Amino acid sequence: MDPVISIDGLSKQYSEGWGRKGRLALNHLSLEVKSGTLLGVIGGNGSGKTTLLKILCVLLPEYDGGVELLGKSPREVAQQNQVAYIPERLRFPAHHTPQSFLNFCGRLSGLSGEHLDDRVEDCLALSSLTGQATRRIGQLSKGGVQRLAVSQALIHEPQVIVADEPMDGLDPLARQKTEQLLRELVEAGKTVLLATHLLEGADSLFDQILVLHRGQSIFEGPPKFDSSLKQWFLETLRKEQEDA
Amino acid sequence: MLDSLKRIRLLATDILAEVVLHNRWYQVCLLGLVFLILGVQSLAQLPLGASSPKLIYDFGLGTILMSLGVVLVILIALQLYADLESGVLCTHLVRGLHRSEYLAGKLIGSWLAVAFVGCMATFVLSLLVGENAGGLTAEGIETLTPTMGVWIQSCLYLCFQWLVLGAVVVLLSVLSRSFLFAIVLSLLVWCVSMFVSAAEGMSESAKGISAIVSQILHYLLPRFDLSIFPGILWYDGPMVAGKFINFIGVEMLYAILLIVASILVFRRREL
Repeated sequence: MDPVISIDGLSKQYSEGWGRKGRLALNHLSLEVKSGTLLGVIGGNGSGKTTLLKILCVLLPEYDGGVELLGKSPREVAQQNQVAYIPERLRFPAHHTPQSFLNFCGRLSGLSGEHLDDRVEDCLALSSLTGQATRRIGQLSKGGVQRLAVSQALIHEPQVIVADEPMDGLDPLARQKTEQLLRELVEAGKTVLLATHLLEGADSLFDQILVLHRGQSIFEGPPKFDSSLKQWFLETLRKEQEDA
Repeated sequence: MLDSLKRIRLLATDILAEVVLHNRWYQVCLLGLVFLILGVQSLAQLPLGASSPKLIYDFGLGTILMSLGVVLVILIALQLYADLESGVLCTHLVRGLHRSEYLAGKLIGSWLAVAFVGCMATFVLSLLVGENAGGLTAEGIETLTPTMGVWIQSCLYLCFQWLVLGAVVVLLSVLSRSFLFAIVLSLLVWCVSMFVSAAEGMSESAKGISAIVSQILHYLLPRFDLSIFPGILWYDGPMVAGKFINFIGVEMLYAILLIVASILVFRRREL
């Protein structure tokens, strides 16, 4: 089976303006992800998780190396509505309700008529927001907002879903609900990339993990951590927090 | 192409609804504008005789135009900044929305919001001044307002001026990551352009470095000349068709150049 995501020697160096080279965020990263996989991209602050996700979503147009999604360039895939993005902190427009926002997103994606109405209803149901569909988004709980963030990404039925720390700051119950939602998507054949800095629960949630440190891959494979990797990761996080 | 236009329309109408119905800051600005218009009414107390209504109208329209120009600058800069910060723009860009469509939608939506208020404010001012000019009789209105053709020329003129001003803000907003920088620089460009346009005669008689600087500014900056507006309306009469088309053509060229430059910059911008 052809991989859904194929990355070969990907490097990304940010610019500090006026042609000056800045931080090297990704350094010769290679990766393959098959269809129906929940990939965990794990790393501390500044490890390159968000950069990787943004490159896949065409938010960072310039990089070195090869990136293919579904056998095409990220730009082509985005134009064909086959990828979706859930940013780390998504603040919705205050004047929308969950229903009107999903409707707006659907119409932007080219949906219309009954199909659009059906998709909005499905997404509201999937994220358990049917009962709050006509409330202002500002009145939703944090978990509700996060589930809406997931459902806005699903409105156009993308093949690949890229999520940047979607469970950050959620209480255990809301976190469990979001995890369950993501697992259901994977079981339905979607490919999900999820960036996180949390190691606990990773072995039960993910099918495959990629551990990043300063833009380089430290570990890539099935989520079976040996104690030395776990120890190293925790030590790295602790050092980063001390530096911060 | 049709899909692209649909998405631009969708974005523009969403911004219009958001701004007019829900944006608190915008509503406060409108309230301020109402007070300004009412304040202009106090000019009626001056002993100006028959020219009093026209003077009030002139001042009132000037106030509306200047205020709405500032509102347009702040509105566009804040919208672009807020969308980038909130992450909403990122989610839309991966669902097939082009960056150029996004910029066009934002520009048109904000422009419509300002045009909507401009029409409302002018209508209110006309009612107030009409009342001052001896009641809302046909004669009272006729002494104050010019022909429909002149109104159309004035409105077209204003539409293009605001479009160019909006395009200036869009370009500066995509160039910088600070909305305050974009706002201050846009207002500066607007003010300097108005000054350069108004002082066109002076620049011709200037000598040395000042002549060179004024010529460079004259060719580089868009022509924001609000003094033409009352000129068309009351004092000089409508422009001849050729001159007016030439004038609109230059404004349109500026708008197109600024929008194309914004798109080229925004395409390369890392989000």
